[in-house]
Amino acid sequence: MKKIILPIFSLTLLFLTKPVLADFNQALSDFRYQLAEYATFHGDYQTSRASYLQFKSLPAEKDAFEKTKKVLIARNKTLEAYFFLLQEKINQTQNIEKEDFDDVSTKLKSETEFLKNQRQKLEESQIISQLETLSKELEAEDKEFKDLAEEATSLTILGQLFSGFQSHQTLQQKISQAIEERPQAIKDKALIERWMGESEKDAQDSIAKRNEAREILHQFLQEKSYKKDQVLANLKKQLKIAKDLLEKATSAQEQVARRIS
Amino acid sequence: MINEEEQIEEKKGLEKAKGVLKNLGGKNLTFIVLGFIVLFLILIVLAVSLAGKKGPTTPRSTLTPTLVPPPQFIETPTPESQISSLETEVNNLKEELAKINLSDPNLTFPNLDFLITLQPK
Repeated sequence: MKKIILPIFSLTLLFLTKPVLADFNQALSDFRYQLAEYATFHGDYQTSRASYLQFKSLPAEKDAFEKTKKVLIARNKTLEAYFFLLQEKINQTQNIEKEDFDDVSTKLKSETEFLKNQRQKLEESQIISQLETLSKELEAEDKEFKDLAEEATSLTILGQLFSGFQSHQTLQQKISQAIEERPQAIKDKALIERWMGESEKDAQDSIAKRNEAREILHQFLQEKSYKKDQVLANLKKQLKIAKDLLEKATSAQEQVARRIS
Repeated sequence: MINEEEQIEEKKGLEKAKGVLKNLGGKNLTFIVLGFIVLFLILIVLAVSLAGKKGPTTPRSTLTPTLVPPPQFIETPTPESQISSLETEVNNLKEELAKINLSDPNLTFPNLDFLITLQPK
């Protein structure tokens, strides 16, 4: 009897309770909360540090230790919340290539694990030198954290550009069909055909730029030299061009839709 | 004689029932009760969902003749409605593109102090 009831009970629970999934907005509000906490603790740390450096007394040292520990823990928590936010953004963005999605997700997971382990060590720290060592460990990762942020945000834009291109193509087909179905109602056929042609060309150029930007992103991730910043600037430029072209292509479609209505 | 046999059989039956109840006692009984509650909940959920699909549950009178439903016409979109839908879709696409934020402030790397130390900087 027990063998029958237990599965029924668990199955019912599975169907009746909706899984609570943290969405992007939840992640964003959590990140903002952690950032505000960090700002408060950072202010406390600065005051107490100044006092410690001035008096060098034992109570000042004890207070400075506590405040430094708090701000370091808050810094880790803020970064953890930030990486979670990036992961949520990536999850909700369609049309990111699978290998890119897997790559960034693995990195976000690994950095989050690092931050959690570090936070654990910070909480267990008893002396100032331990805090300073852990802080330096994290500071050494600063550049990697920023690169990861660039990777995640660029992938989001790449995904959105691809979705925009797909929507443009669907609309292009529908407009062409509408033109074919009512040829007698269309006066400036030549002009409309020209606009449609320009729209298609701009959309194709946009997707080409988008794909080029993706290649530049891969180059940015592998670049170790001083050229890294240049590559990043180029990536952002290509993304902007791709977006502008897609907007231009859509404007042409808008003109056509207005003219045939 | 027959009455005695009947009584003995009745006693045996009672003893069997007691035995069964003993076996089901304690934890098993709790699981049975829980099982019934769960089944009851499932039945309620099913009943509610079926009622929702079927609509009103008042039975139709058998005396009134059933009306043949009017033939259903599948509305083919007119060229005008097609065009207005195109304009809506263009607007949707424009909104979709406007949402592409090349430097989303929500996703910008947080401005954190990466030189936290108690030593003089």
